Amino acid sequence: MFRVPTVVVALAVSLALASCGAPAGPQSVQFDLAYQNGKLNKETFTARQGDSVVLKIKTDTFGEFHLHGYDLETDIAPDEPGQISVTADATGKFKITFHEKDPNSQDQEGEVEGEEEENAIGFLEVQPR
Amino acid sequence: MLRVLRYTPLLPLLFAFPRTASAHAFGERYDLPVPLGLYLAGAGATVAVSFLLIGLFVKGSPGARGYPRYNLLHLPWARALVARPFILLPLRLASVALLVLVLVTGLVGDQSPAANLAPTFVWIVWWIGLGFLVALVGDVWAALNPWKAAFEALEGLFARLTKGQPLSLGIHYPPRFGVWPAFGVFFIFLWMENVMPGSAVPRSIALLALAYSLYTWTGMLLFGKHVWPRYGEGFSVFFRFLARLAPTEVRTLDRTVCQECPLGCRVESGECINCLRCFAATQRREVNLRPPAIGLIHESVQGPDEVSFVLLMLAGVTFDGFNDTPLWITIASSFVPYLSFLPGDFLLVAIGTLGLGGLLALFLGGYAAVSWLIRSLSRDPGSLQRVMWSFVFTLVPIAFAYHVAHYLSFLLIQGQLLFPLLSDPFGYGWDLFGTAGYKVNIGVINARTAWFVGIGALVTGHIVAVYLSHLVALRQNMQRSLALRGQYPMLALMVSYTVISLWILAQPIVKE
Repeated sequence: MFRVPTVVVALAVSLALASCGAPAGPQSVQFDLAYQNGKLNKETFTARQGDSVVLKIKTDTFGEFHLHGYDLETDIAPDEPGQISVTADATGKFKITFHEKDPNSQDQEGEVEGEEEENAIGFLEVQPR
Repeated sequence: MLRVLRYTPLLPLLFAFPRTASAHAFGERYDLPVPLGLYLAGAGATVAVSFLLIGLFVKGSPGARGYPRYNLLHLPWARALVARPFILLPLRLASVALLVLVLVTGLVGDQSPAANLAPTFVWIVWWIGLGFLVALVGDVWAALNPWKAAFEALEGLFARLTKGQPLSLGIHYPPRFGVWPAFGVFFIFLWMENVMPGSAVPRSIALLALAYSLYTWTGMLLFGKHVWPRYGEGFSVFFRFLARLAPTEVRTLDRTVCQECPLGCRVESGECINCLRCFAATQRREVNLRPPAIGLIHESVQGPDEVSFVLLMLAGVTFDGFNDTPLWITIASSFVPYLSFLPGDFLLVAIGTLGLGGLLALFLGGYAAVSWLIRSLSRDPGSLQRVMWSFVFTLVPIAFAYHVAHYLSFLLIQGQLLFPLLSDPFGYGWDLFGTAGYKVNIGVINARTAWFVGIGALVTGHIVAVYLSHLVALRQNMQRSLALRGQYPMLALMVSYTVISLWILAQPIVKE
């Protein structure tokens, strides 16, 4: 009967070891995103929990970039690159979407949500420390 | 879950109303897949504990049929609570009020899923949250079922107006129909959850809930308020089976009451468990604390209808996770050439339906095959059906563990949407309780915590499943060595099921 608790402890220890990374402290990370012809230069950007992440975004059209989960957005224009800054406190995989905007019209809040889901162009992945 | 997000071409039509609530999206998942190392450790642990358990059983003593119970009614405050309705009545009123609120907000509120109470309440708080509560605490649904509560209120009113006439027609429910009606509606529900596009649209939820309410009340009108939830109301059957995991039960000791009960709730000793009709009919009763999951084996299912229902529960939980995996996308794509005659939207729905139905058929066939092997190896003189009935509940701990692993983060994160929605259920910009500006905390649970909870739950569920299955086998078979020999196929099935569930957790989530 003693074998059971011993093995359970051994398993717990091995599980803990299996998940250990090599943690450094929180860092400042910058990613350069280039959005052209409906695609990003890279699909997934990875950071660690606690990092200060800056997403610098350039594109050739008018629109709005949205980082889901953290719910941050930035307007963008061909000559005006955008930036999203976030302290990555929460772990997870967060969608980045883009929707085009007619530069001459007003803010179209209502139409946004549906089209956004279609345009998941990349992800910000925040790994635990 | 929630196929609406795949049907984006249709969505702009539905979002004609401006959004007034926070920008937080409904139904999004932020889960990180379990890393490979942890997955392998979990799978290894599963196999290792299986061998350990075999070793224990070979040496240990057979399980008896009884289990330790503590009757809460020994405590004076518990007795008072049960005797008087002052706790139960407000809760039931709240339950009916919530049903009405879901119907009304769904029909006339803002149709953006994150701005309306109905999608969050139905899919997250009720479907996932109540499921967790019932499995971990007890069958609160049986006591708080809003359809039953509303029917009983009407019944009381009717009796008063007609000097004691019952509201229900009391038509005899043919026993051979069993829980097949519940099976049918529950399959439809799982289909809506996993395949149907637009399942998060508030108006759709309200209309479907309305239709289901009519279906349920018609059944109660025809057959009676206890008989219909027992056989035809899909969620009552689902929660009743799920409650077998729970560490509480209500037990009626009065055998004559149980004997006249049309609900077939009796166990071997003549008492009955978790039958509210019998519980209400006598004072010789208990509300017991019991070991978790032991309720799965106090008696087997009672027919092919119930076996099918349990396997449907398992298939639904597994398909929910599987249909987000890259492997499913590959399989689904291979169907496309054969179904290309269907228009685009129907094509995806057809493939999803085939997937759900196919997985159910696979579970039925696979479980039948394993049961055949059990019967053959243990030289069981009974029928194959009886073997299937005896063991099917022992698979539930693995499925429930996967359900917890899959949904814990989602429930903790997306469930927070309830707070702003309670202040602004219609999405009209109200702030009834001051929480309308509440911003969801996406960091409430760390990915590493979620991984460990998930793997821990699955390994624990596996241990419980193997243990219970052995108890059943030893109980049924006089010859110990034969009983244990018959358990090898079941063990292989359980190891496979657990490892596949772990594998799904390690897969990247493909959609959205």
